[in-house]
Amino acid sequence: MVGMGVGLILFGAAVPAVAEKPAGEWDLSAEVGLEARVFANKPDHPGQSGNTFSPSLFIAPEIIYEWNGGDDRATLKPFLRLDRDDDNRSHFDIREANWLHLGDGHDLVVGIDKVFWGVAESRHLVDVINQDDRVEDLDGEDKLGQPMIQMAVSRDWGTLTGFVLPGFRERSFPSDDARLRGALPIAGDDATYDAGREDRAIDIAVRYTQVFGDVDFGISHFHGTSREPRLSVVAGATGPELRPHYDRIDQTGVDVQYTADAWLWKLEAIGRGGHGSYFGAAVAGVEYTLYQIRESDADLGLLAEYLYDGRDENGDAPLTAFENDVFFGARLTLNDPEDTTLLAGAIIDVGDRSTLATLEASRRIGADWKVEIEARALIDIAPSDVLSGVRKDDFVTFRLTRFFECSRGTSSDPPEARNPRVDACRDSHRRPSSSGRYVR
Amino acid sequence: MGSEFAYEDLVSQEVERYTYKWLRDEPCGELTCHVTERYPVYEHSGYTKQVVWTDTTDYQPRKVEFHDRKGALLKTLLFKDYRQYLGLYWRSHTFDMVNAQTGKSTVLTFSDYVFMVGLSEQDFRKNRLKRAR
Repeated sequence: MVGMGVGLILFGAAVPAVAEKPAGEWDLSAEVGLEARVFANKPDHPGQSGNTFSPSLFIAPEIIYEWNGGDDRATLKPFLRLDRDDDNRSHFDIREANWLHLGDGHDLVVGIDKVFWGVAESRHLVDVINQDDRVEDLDGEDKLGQPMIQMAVSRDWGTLTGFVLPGFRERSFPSDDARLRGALPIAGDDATYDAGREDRAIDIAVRYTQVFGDVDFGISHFHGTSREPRLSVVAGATGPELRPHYDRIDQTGVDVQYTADAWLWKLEAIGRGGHGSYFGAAVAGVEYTLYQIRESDADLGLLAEYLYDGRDENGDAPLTAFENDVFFGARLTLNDPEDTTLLAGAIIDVGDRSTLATLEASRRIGADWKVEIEARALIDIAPSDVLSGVRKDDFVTFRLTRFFECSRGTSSDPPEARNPRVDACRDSHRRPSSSGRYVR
Repeated sequence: MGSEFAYEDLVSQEVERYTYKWLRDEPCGELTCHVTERYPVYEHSGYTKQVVWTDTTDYQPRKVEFHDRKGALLKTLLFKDYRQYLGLYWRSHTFDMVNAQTGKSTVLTFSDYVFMVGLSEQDFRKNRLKRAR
């Protein structure tokens, strides 16, 4: 909560007196979704809910105000989920609450924002700014808002961005009685820290990016509290439980993508110190796209990646499932008016063949609705594998989302300059935004 | 995606994208047009050649015929409703594309062009484009 408070204070102090410049543009929109998870198996651990069918609801509004011809923008994106079976999954977060200023040769963001770094598909190694909203989904694509002051300077030699990150967000975990929490309950409220000031320490990061011909290059450094906690077994009131500990780390990251016609060659690599010995980790892969297959409008992307992580496995570092794995995936986009997309992928442990498989399909219905199906399966998980705690938690998610939009200029616009939808807040055709998923 | 326009048809028409051959001059409506053939340089183009009618008064394209990989006429595009802005820039406000092989058509209409809106080179850098709405 401190993290969100700091972010809101930054945001409130930063937005200049909007009343001085009344001629701006509002844009209000929202996504409301109904979700049902269906679990394939009975729960594996005592205390976990036995419900096969698990519903939830989410609301994600977006309020944007732009002024000075778009040079200034204030964004507010709250998020609320209500889950019948997982108390921790019922949560509220401010994904974004910031002021963006596009200046002469620099861009400034003050407040809560979401920043994504990276090029790989299976694991986002260099992406270190935002904390995972781990109750949302297993794939690490949903993030909690992060308070920040971000300044980017863009020139011919590239873009240099500096981040000051006050306020730390702790990772969200499923409740003790929920599916997907793992073998032991997690005492999220009892987290400990390396830093004396705990979640009030200030972290910093810097990033340089540039495009060299067909190569997109990025290098970054982060100094601060690790977003990944180390989970240690402690004696709790009702039995053993896992307590998160957040180490202070230094992480240097590199991300490179080389584009050669239909081939994308990708690499993400990090070096991290602060969890015991210094270690390196990398994801390297390739994506090949067949455009307009068999004279249709559809594109088929084929992906393969190798994942390596060299961290200590003696408890000094947070556990990872991706120390020596391969990933295979395929993405089919029909490029039809409904934007039908299918995604299939599997991450396989080279050592013990434990497999995490994913199947996703999404399609729009009319102008205002979207339906999605996501299946996650854990196949042949070895008892010693990091994923063994959730090996019986295979599930399918059905999601129905409704999109709302209204936008209007302000009353100081001359009538002929007004958007035709001015003063009318009604459902209109809108391309649904991807909810947290990395969009290339 | 559901229309008769391919991405290739909508990107900016750079001279280096094609090689050319002038065929003839002929009347086109109330104007006179140069009729030229052009051949895409890009080896993965969907077209083997295009025939273009360009008027001799304002030098704007009026009609383009697209020929497919087998050389047959595939589509015809008409640029209609030209207006000039700032005394310099001609803009067509209606692109009318008819597929000669299927009979289907797509009409793109453009309106409310505004020039001199204050965009600079910076706004086209990657980090700014990511923030564009």
